[in-house]
Parts: sequence; structure tokens; C-alpha cells
Amino acid sequence: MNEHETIIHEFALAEDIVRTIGTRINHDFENISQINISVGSLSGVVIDSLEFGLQIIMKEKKNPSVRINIIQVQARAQCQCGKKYTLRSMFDECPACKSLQRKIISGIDIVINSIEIRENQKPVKNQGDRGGIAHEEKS
Amino acid sequence: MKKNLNISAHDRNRQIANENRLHFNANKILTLNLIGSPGCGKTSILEYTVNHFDQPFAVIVGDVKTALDSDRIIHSGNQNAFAIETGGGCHLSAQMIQDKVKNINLNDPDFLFIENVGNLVCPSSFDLGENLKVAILSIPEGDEKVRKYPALFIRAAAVIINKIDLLDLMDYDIQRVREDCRIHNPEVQIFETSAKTGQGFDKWFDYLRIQYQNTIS
Repeated sequence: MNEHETIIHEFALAEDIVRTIGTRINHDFENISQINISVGSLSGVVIDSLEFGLQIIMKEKKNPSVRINIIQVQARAQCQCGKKYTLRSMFDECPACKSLQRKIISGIDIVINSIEIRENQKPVKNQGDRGGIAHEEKS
Repeated sequence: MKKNLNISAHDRNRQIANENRLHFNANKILTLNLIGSPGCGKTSILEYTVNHFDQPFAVIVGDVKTALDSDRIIHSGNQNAFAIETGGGCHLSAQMIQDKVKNINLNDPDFLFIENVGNLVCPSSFDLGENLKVAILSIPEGDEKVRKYPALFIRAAAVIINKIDLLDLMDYDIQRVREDCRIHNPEVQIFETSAKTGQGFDKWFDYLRIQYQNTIS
């Protein structure tokens, strides 16, 4: 277990985020230019602390210049009447029927949306051999 | 180049939690994750349970330091109590539970109660592989906890309001607490207990038996 894992909530999350990213990029952390994350407004996560944790861990991965881009996503609820609405506060009632009987449907999770990778660091490969069409990832 | 991931930050913990859940279910163990503030009576509830509940259970207690709480369970008569010292950590993770369970013998219990680190924030978002999350409140803490810490109460299947014997002594609006709990989760089951007098435990034990039958049997 990594020494950070047990320190604080946001550090444990930052560790898991970096580990998860690592498995998707063959642990090539040095070429990441930006990490894009969305944090639900009811996730209980302090964005500044999460960003701080990610910066420290990425520094250890020899990438101190990575940009951490965290956006907050407002929680959404579905009322018992079926109406879906955005929750600014936990006690916002349904705009249609004024009920408070609803289920939270989003805004409690933290999602790693995407990462951006510096392309000039990557070796150029000729992939035209099979059918002549080079595979490109969407950007 | 942008690489889309769209993965939850909790994904890794959830994978391990799911492994734990499969392990517990395969061994016919119903697992509950008990989350509450320091001093709300998590350990006292378990101590009362040792002497008054008729199904065998094991306990794993997470604390920042010491094994004092698991020792209390052992002293009250249940030897199947184990401590995880987080050494500063504010919550248990699925990995900690998996590592612990590999190294102990739970002695074939019907239930595993995981008493999380006393904290209403961090433990709520880390799935340990439990079947049910249980939030524990107590009367002296005041009646605003449900409003202040929504993340726990959205996820808790049951809420125990402990130290109910102090209700008449304190300025505590229990109806408001019940309503706030139901706003976060309309299906929540609410129990009012006193680990000192035993009040309310019959309903809590009935709930445990029904959950066991529905989930495990």
C-alpha cells in the first residue's frame, strides 16, 4: 500500500486517480500535459485538496508541469413525479410538484474525463501497412 | 492528443470492494459498514449486540490509532473482533478490508460489522464491499448532522439514532432528523436506540434478520 493512501480523503482519491490513469497509458506519466476531472457537488470532495494531492503525486511521477483541470458538476435529482432537476442545495424542492421526495441521480461521483498527452514526445509510427489507413485517436 | 477515459475516481476501490462483496456473499456473510462521528456509540451498539443478538457475527474496527474498540468487543464476549489501525487515515478502504480478511479467521459468521473510522465525510464515499451502509447518529451531537453531511445520508440504507434515552434532556428535533433522512433517501430505515438501556434494539435486530434472509439465505 502506498504511503499516501491513508493520509486524507482527497489524497487517497488522487492516488487512485493516478493509478487508474497509469493503467490506461502504460504508466507513461511524463507525457501527460493535462488531466481533466469532474467532481460532483455532493461528492464531499474539496477540489483544492484534490488538485494539491494530484500535483504532489504527479511531481513524484516526474511530471511537475501537468495541468490539473477540475470542474464541479451540479447534482441532479429525480422527483417521485418523474421530473429531473438540478440541485443547488440539498433542500431544493421539485420545480414541478414542490415535493422533496426524490432520488439523487448524479453529482456524488468524481470522474476522470480525459487526459491530454504531448504528441511531440511520442515516436512516429507508420501504421499504413494494414489497409493504408492510419489510425488516429479523436481529439 | 486527447485521450477520453470517463472513469470514476472510485473505480479502483470499487473493483476491490466488489471482490470483497463476492467473497463475503460466497461465505454467506452479510456485511454492514457502520459510519458515524467519534463518540456516537458505534462500539457501544456492537457491545450491546454481543450479548443480545442470536446470530454469530464478526467485527472489524477501523481506528486511527489503537485497538481499544476491538478490545471492548472482545471483553464483552465476542472473540471475533479485529482492529485495523489506519495510522492517520480518515477512512477504511476496500484494500484495507481485503488485506485484513486474508490474514484473519472470521469463524464463519452470519454477519460482519465493519466499524469505520469515526468520521461523517470520508468513509461515506469508499465502498468496502458491504451489503449495507448504516449511518449512526446520536442525540448529543445535535439535530443538524443530516443536513451538514449529505453524502453519507444519500447512501445509507439505514440510520440509527443512538442515545435516544437522552432525547428528553436535549433540545433535539427528532422529527426534523427523520424528515431530513427521508429527503436524502426516501427508502431509508430509521431506528432509535439506546445502547445503555437497550431501547429500540428489538427492531434493529429484526431488520438485521430480515436483511440476512433476503440477501443471504
